[in-house]
Amino acid sequence: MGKSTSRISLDSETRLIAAAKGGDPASFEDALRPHLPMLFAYARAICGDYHAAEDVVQETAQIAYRKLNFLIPEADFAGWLKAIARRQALAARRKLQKTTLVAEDVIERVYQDSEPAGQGGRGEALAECLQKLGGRAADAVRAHYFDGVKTDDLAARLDSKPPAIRQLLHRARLLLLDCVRRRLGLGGAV
Amino acid sequence: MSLRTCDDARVLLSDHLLDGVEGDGADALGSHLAACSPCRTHAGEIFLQDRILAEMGARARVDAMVGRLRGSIGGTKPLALTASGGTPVVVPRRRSWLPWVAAAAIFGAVAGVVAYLQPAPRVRPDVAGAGNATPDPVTHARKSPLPKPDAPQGPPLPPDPAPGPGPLVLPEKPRVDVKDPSPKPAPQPLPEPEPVKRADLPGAVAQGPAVHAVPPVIEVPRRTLDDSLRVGTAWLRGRASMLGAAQSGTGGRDMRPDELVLWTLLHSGVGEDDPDFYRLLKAMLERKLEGTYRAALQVMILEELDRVKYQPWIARGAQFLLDNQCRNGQWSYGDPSLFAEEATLPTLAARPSPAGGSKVKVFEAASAPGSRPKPRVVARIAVRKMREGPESGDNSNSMYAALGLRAAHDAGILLPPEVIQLAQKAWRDAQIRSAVAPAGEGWCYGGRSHGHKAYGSMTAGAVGSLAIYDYIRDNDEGKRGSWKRDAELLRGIDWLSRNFTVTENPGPTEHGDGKPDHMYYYYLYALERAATLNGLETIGKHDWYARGSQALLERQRLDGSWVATGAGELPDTCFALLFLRKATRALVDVPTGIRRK
Repeated sequence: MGKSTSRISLDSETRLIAAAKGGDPASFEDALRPHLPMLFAYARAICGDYHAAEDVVQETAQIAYRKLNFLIPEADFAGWLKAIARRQALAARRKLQKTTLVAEDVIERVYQDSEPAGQGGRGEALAECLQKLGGRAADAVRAHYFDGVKTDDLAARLDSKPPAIRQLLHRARLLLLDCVRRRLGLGGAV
Repeated sequence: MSLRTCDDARVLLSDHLLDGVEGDGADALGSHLAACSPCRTHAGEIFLQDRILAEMGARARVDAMVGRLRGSIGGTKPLALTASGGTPVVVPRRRSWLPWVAAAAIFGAVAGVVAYLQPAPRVRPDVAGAGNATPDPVTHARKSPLPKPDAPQGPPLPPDPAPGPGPLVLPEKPRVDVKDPSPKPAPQPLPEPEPVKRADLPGAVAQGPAVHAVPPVIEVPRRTLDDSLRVGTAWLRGRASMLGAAQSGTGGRDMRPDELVLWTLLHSGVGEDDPDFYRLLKAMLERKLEGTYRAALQVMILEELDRVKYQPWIARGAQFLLDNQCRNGQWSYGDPSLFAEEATLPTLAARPSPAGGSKVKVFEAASAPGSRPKPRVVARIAVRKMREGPESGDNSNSMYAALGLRAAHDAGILLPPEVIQLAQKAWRDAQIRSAVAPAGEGWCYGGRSHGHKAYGSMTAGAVGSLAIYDYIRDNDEGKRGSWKRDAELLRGIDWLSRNFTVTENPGPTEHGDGKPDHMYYYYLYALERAATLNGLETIGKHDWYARGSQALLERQRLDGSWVATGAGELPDTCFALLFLRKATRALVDVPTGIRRK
């Protein structure tokens, strides 16, 4: 099992970055590690493709390491990484010939906080709801989010058609949202 | 394509998250979300859920991601922050180090004897709690019989004589010549809140004791200051000759200092007739605007250079700044704005032919603010905000945006009043309040809810920014001198007075790992702006310029540069020179004909 991805303290991060600026890749890895899940999710939200997002994260990390000395200490490391990831993700999106990024402002709002998402119990609630969801819907969610399986492949895997998979995932999302809201005491209407 | 119901929109949103929707579907979804508040809220929740699930999946793959990365960066190092802006500096013809080493050794020995014969320097106790602070590196170094002239990064590069004004003469190192011209003030107790002494506003402060003794006059030794400026400017010109190679960056967070160097050179008497200056200027004008700091500095440079000739570019910069204002009125690092990119710009005229070669006209200390003759503004250009920025930004970007907007205003760019009001409100909202100072005191990097204590660079930046916005609003609204009566601003000056120091960036800085010299020169330049913009000869009873100059002369390195923790030697040298030259123009130079009716 690897190192923890939980957020390290700001002081530790500052020290790691200082060491990385001196050419220590291991310190850079340690400083970067807690931000990787967020960077991946953000890149995926922008470029709209699981595998392209993985490449975006790699490119982001390489650029960030190369340009680490341009990061002024006043700046927020996660925010800086996110800015690089955004550029790379938009470039990846263009390569995928996707033109319109819908609800960009909503995406930016959701990713404004660089801390791991799901705090305040929402993450645990979602994990429990996914467990409870079970069946084909849970398989579809896991395959889509955790393994990056494309719609057509997922349809073949579940012996179904792509439109049905879309419908299945749509319903699964609504069910999960409803379940999380109930668990958090926010009411179940979605 | 039109969406009949919210359910249609939500199905389409789900499809969008899966494979993305394009064309009419994307347009319809975008329009629906823009118009339907419940669906926008729903979209926010769905995107958040999407994020949590994606992060959940990615967390299990982090080791694989790191492993893949290790393969690509292993054995490499980050680029050095060098003059070429990303490409490590390659000195074309490497000369022998031997003469320099020998000269440095001789100089070191002489300087050591001089230092040894001089009385031990006293530590100036003008910092609250200075007794347990980290020793001042300069003071500390001078306790040794032999000074350590070398920079922490190793011996300085010999200056490239080709474009610069000639090799440096090491024996003229200013530090040796620094003499305390008057007795240093006696140790003081922890300073009480002091009134603000304004050159033109006697007794205008509502809080604090009414009378203070006149501060002891500290005279900066003129010749030493001239030497410092000459050597510092020479160093900067040498570095400027190497700038401008790589141009691709990382958008608004690209911290290449080209504009800061131009801004400093401009205040050092270097102009368009200088080949390096013109090359950097041309590259700047041809570059896309990507970030707040650089766009703001560009506007400042062009306004200072020729606000009539460059007015279209100034309007483009102002457009960029407006389009990057955050919803709460602050600025963040910024993103390119299509509306700024679409600006129609005239063709840049050829470089003015140098009359008798490049000239450095100003080597005297502290050129008078506003001394460069300004052409009369004859045309006005109105700009309006065309898009929203992110939710919130930071006070560092915001203070530079304020400087850029002030320059645009002075160049006849009509700025929307609501932008100025919101920007001013953001500064007021961000002022930190505490149990000790419920009315507010200083500023930190973020907003009031940031949870950090106030510190020097941000407070000085805030004081300057509030004065700028008061000034712009006065001009727009036909008032005068609001910046002299601004309560939040005055409390900020009071904070600067109570925490006054020129030996560190006072207060607990953020991201600085507890180092007192973190962003030290950046702070000094902010202090110069705060004082000049508010017409302050002293901050409290402190003669900020005399003390600051003295501190800078003590810290200047052998090669003429300065460096502290945080920004790097090129920006730090610029900040130091800008302070020494009193680069900020006071808020009195309102060009004729731009007053809003």
